[in-house]
Amino acid sequence: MAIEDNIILKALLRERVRLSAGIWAVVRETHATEEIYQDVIVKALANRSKINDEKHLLAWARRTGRNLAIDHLRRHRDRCVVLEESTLDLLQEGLRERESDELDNRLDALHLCLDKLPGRTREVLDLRYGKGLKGTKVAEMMNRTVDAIYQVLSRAHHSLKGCIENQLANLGTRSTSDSQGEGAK
Amino acid sequence: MNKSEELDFLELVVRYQDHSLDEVGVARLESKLQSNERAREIFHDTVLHALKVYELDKGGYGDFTCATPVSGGHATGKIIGFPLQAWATAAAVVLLAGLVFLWNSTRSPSIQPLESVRVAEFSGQVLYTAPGELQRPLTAGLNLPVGTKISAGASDSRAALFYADGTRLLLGPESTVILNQDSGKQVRLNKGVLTSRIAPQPDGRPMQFQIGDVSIEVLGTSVTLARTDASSPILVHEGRVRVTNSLEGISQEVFAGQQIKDLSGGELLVENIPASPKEYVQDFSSYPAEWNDGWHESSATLHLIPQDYNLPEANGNPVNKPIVLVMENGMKLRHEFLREEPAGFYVRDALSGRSIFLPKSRIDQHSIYGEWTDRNGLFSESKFAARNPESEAFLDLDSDGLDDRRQTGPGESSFVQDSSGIVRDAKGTGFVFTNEGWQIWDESYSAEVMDARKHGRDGWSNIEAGSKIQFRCYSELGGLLRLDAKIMDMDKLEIHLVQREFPLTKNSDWQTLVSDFGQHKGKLIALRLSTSQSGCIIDDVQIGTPL
Repeated sequence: MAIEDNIILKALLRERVRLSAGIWAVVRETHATEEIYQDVIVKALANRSKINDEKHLLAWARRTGRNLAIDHLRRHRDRCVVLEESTLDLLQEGLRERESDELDNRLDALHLCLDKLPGRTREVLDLRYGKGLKGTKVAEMMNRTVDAIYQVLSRAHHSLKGCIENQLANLGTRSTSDSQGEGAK
Repeated sequence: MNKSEELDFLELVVRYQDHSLDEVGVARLESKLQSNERAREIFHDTVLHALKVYELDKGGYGDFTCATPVSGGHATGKIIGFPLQAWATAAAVVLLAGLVFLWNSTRSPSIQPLESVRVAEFSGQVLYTAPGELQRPLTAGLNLPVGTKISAGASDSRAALFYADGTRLLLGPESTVILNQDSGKQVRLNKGVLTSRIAPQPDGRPMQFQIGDVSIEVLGTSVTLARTDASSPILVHEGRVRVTNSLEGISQEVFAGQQIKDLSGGELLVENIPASPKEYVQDFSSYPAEWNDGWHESSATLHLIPQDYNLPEANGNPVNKPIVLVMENGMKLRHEFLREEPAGFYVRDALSGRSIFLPKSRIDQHSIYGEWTDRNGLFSESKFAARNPESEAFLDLDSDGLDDRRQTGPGESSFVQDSSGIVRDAKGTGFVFTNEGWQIWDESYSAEVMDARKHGRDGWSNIEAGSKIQFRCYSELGGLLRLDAKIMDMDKLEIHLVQREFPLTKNSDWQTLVSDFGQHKGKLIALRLSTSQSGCIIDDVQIGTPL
C-alpha cells in the first residue's frame, strides 16, 4: 500500500538534520545540500506509490540523497574525491543512533555558542559556510593564507564543540535541579 | 583523542569539506573515521556547525532549527532567483528569463523598501559595498540596500539589477555605480557604462541618473549612459530625459533616437543616434564545400558585428543592435545584439529582455540551434539545419515530398503560419519543425517551480496569509490561463492545492495578472501555470506579501 503525502512530509522533515548531514558529507556545499534535500522530498512525493511505509521511506531517502549528492559532484566537479561508501555508511549509522532530542539540544546550544565566537572567527565561518565561499576566496578576502583559514576553522569547530558541551552540561544541571524543585513542592 | 589530535583531525575535515584534500589526505581521514567513533562524532559536529551557519546566514528556514529557537534572529529576506522558464510562442522560438522572487521577508512580514535593488544576474568579477559593510563579491538574488556601491571588473564583468517595479539596470564592464534614493530612485555612474530600462515611476518621483555635476531626469524608459576619461555620452532609446548641468545652469531634453555625445562638455549638444543596421549578410559562397543540395549543415558561422555603429560599451563592442534571425521554417526571431565573446554571441530577446548565448558554432544567418525552449517551456536541444538563403522555404508536413504550400488539389490541406511561427492545417492542428522533422505542436504549455527551482539556490517560497502571486503575461491568441499551486502547511504538514483561472485577452501588449492563495500558509512547493493556447509568454513571476 502506498504511503500518504503527509506521512512522507512529516517523516522527511523530522529527519531533515540527519538527511542533510548525510548529503553534506558528500557534496560539502551548503547550498547544494539544501537543494538536494528538497529534491529528495519532491522525488518521494512523486514516487509515493512505490514506497511501502515509513521505514522504507527513510532508507530510500538516505540512499536517494546520497545518490543525488554524488550526481551533483559529478556534474559540478571535474575531479571529486569523496569518502568511500563504507565510511559514509558508518557516518550515517552514527547519525541515526543519535537521539533527536540530543541533536535538537546541540543545535540550540550551537546557536548560543556561535554568538560567543570572536568577530573575525565568526566572519570566517559565515564566509565559508554561510556564503559557501572556497577557503582560498575567504583567505583572499580576509588577507590571510588559506592554511591560516583552515586553522581558524579547525579551532572554531573545536571551540564550538567545547562550548556546546558546557551548555548541555549546564542544561542538564538545570533540568535536574528543576525536577528536584518540582518534586519538593 | 587529545586536544592536539582533535585539532589535527579537524584540519583534515576542514580541508575535506573545502575539496582541497588529495587522495592521500582522504585516505588518512577515512582511516580515522573507520577506526574511531569519536572522530565520527566530531565529523558530525562540523557538519551541524556548517549547516547551522548556513541556515542563519540565509535567514533560517524554520524547519532546520530546533523546535524552540534559542533566540530571535531568523534573518534576512529570501529571494528565490531562479530563472523560471515559462513557455514559448513557438518551438525553438523565445526563451524567457522570468524570475520568481519574494519581496517579503521571513524576518518581518512587512514588504522590503520599494527601492531595494535585486541582483538578477552577473558575470565576471563584480563587487559591492553596502553602507557600513566591507566590500564583498556580488551574488545572484541579493537585495542591495540604498547606498550600495557596485563595481564591475574587467571586460567580462557585468551585472543586471532589477528594482521591484521592473526597472532594470545593466552595468557594463569596468563600471561603478552607487544606488541612491531621494524622492525617487537615484543612480550615480562614477565610471563605465550603464544601460537601463525604466518602468513608469510615481508622479513627482522621477528616476534620476547622475554623472559628475550633470543630472538626468528620466521621463521615458530606456537610456544608456557612459562615463570614460574621454567623454560621457548619453543615448536615449525610448521616451525622453531631461539633462541638467547645474554648474553651467543649462538644461536640455533629449528624445528617443537622440544622444548627447559628451555630458562633461560646457554645452549640451543633441544629435541623432546613427541608424542601426538592419541586415547582417553572410557570404555563404565562402563555404562552397559544405553545401549539400541547398542545405548547409555544419560549421555554419555568421559574422554578426555590424559596421559603422557603435554604442559606448567600455570595451568598444557594439550593443543593443537589432538582429533578425530567420529560422528554417521562415520564422523570424528578433533579438538585440549585446556583445561578442570568443565562443559566441550574447543576444537579448526583444520580448522578454532575457540574455541568450548563441555559440558561434551554432549560428548562421538563417538558422540557430541549441539552447532553445521545447514545446513545454523547459530547456531542450532542438537542432535546426541551415537553409540556403537563395532557396525557398519548403513545407512538407505530410512527408509526401511535395511542398505543401503549393498543393491545391481537392482534399489537400491548406496551411497557414501564425505570427509565432507555428504552421497550422485546416483543422487548426499546429506543426513545428524539429531536428526529427515536422512534429505536431503540443498545445499545452506549462512551467513548474519544482523544476525551475533547480536553477536557484534558495529553496521554496514562503506563503503567508495575504501573499499574492503576480506575473506578466503576453498572449497572442487569448484563451484561459490556469494556475495550480501546492502549498505545504508546515504546522499541520498538509499539502493544499490552490487553483485559479485567468481569462487572457488577445493582446499585443503585456498584461499583469495578480492572484492570492486564499488563507493558506506554508511553503510553495509546486507552481504550474498552463494554458491551452500557444503564443503565451509568462515573465517576471513574483510571489510575496505586499503592503
